[in-house]
Amino acid sequence: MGSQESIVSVRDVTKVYGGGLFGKGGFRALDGVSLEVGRGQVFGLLGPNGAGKTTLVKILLGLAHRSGGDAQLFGQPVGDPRARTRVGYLPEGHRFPGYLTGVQVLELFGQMCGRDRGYLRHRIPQLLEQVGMRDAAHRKIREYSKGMTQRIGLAQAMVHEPELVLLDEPTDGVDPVGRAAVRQIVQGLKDRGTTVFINSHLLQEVELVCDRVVIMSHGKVLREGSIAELTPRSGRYRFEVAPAEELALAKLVGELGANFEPAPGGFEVQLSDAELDKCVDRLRAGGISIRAITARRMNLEQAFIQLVNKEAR
Amino acid sequence: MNRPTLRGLFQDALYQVLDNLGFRILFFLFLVPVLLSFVVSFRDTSIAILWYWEWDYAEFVRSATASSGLDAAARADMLANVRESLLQTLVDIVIEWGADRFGLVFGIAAISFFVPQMLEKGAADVIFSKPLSRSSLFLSRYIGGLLFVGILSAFLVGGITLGLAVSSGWFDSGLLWSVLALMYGFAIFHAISCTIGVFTRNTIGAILLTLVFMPINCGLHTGWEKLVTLEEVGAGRDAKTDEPDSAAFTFLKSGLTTYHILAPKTGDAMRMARTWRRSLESQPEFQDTELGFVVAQAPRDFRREWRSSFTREGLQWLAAHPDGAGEASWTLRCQSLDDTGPRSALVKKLRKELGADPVRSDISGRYADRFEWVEDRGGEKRLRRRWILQVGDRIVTLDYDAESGWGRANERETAATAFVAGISIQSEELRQLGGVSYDRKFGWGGPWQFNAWFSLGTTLAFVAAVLALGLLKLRRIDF
Repeated sequence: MGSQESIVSVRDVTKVYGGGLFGKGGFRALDGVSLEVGRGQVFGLLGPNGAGKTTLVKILLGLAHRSGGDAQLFGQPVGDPRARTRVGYLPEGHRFPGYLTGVQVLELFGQMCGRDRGYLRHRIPQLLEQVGMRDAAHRKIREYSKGMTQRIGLAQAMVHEPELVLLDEPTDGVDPVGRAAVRQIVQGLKDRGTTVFINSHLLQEVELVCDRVVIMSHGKVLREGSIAELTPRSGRYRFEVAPAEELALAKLVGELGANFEPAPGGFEVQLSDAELDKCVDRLRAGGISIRAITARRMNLEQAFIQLVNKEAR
Repeated sequence: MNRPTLRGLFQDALYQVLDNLGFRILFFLFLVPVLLSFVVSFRDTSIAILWYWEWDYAEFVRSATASSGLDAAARADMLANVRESLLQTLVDIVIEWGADRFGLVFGIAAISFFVPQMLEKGAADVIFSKPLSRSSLFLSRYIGGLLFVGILSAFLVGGITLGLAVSSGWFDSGLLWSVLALMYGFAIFHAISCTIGVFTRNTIGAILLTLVFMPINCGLHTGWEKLVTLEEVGAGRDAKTDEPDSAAFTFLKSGLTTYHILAPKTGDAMRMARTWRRSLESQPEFQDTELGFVVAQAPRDFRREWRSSFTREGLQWLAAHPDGAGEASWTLRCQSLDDTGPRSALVKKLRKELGADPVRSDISGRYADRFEWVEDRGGEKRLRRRWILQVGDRIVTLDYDAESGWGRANERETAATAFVAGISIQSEELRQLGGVSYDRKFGWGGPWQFNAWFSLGTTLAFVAAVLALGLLKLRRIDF
């Protein structure tokens, strides 16, 4: 985090559901979770179902009470409603009042966040345009499809121009075109310096937009870091070489590594660090001109599955 | 909470109310009496519909009393008051029965979803993540319900008041207090419904438990009122017996009294409205709350003799003759049966003296024997009338004594009829058992258990406690 201002600060937070009279027993949804989110970051919270992601978000928003530890938003305790003035939230599986139209939802929640009608009169049409809901803005929410509800939900999370936007499964029920639009919106928020906290199980989405990620499982933080830090080298290398016979290449490299695979403009092979040097030497000795060597990384999904499976064992 | 937030919450409550099917149904149901109040005119002598079809009150009275044996004088008594009685009865039916009972139950059923719906998964996450405290949101839903009833009550009562003023020229500003009374009654049950909604987070549960509470609460209060009345009646009859109450009776009495003190006194809402109405109306000429006697107005051109007493020599109203010779009087007297003997004996004695039979008449809807004769007093012919009736263990007599040529006959008769029609009697034992005792004692200056301030204070304290309980629970919920 360095000297970056902390927007979300969670220290050793625990949450036990259904504990007995003296707090014994019950289900431990969060077990000593600590994390920090700096200003302007796009932060991803990942984890399998039941990891405690939504519980953590709800604690941050005062929707659930923590059993222990300390959590702050903008330096204020999370239970204080004032801390939520600068926060926009799109909950998972949200339901807006069916008696309101899309515009009325935005007006209502904008006013609840302290914005006056003059401000909202300008802000709402922009937002509706941004989330692609201009044409359906005056229809009742009860007539909306799931995707439309999600788009209006995204708009209500941003209506008061919050400094922190918490998105819980933002692409849930949204078609591929809509997902791209959501990514674009998140990027736009990031460009304006808004901190975005995304809670999602769609790892590809997270990988594409997040600067920093926390992986949780069984109420604990397993790993935290940037995407690069969380996706380790797979030990597989891609060699780009001058045109050469595939057979000759396989002969030169084959003895050293494993899983040799020809690829356009070269080949891929699994090597240890010591084998990598030898491989370069052999190729050079064999008169093969090496143009580039790229260490292949796991994608976030692979890293996530590996980590969660390891934790389960 | 800043202004935009308040406006947002108000708008939300309004949208929620206007979208509500129950609200729309009630609105159309209430529209019927409001429209009728505009198209039906209660004129001085007739009812007219759409200013075209017209029926005389005299026809109604004749039909209604055809088999009752009432004579022309008694019918005239009824006729003098028929317009006011009809209007009061209709207003009472629409407001006290229609709105206060049916409207209350329907209103609770229609808006009990306010809180449970707010607490549903998905909805709660959105609304409680906003920078508002849970108490603000809970109270906004409570106030939203009051808004629901406020709009409907104002529409019903205001509409009828305006309708009757326009079509019938009858305006009762005190009627507008009923809006507050309806909201007060609703505020109590809505608080219970909201709190049950927080605990159960289920609309059906909130409706059912509130509707179950309504008759139980009403029944327990009525039980206490009956018990008090019975005790009062029993104390009069068995003053000499000194038997201690049974343990079961004492337990029942303590339980009901405690409940009466602590629980919301919903039935008092309309009583308070009536009290407010009464306070706005002109004070009656005479009132004896203990005996339940009210004389609305003095006989026209007569003045009350202030030293006179109702239960001793009788209340007396006097008028001097316009020519300065002699005077006329009305005397209303109430005596114990022990002093007068039975009514039949009094009637028999007077019949024998006058050699004439009485005619059937009524005062305040009670049977009365009415005598009329001309008395020769020192050469002066005087018209005498006497009504004799029995009220419980008391004999009430009303005497008229004036020079026989006093005033114009028709004016004199109209004034006399209006005076008699303005006498109302409420102190019958049977009606006491029906709860009249509580009604009679209830008021802003009544004994503490019957005191309107006490009722208001304890009821509001109950509502505050119930809302606080709901809030306490709401603050502990993990969504």
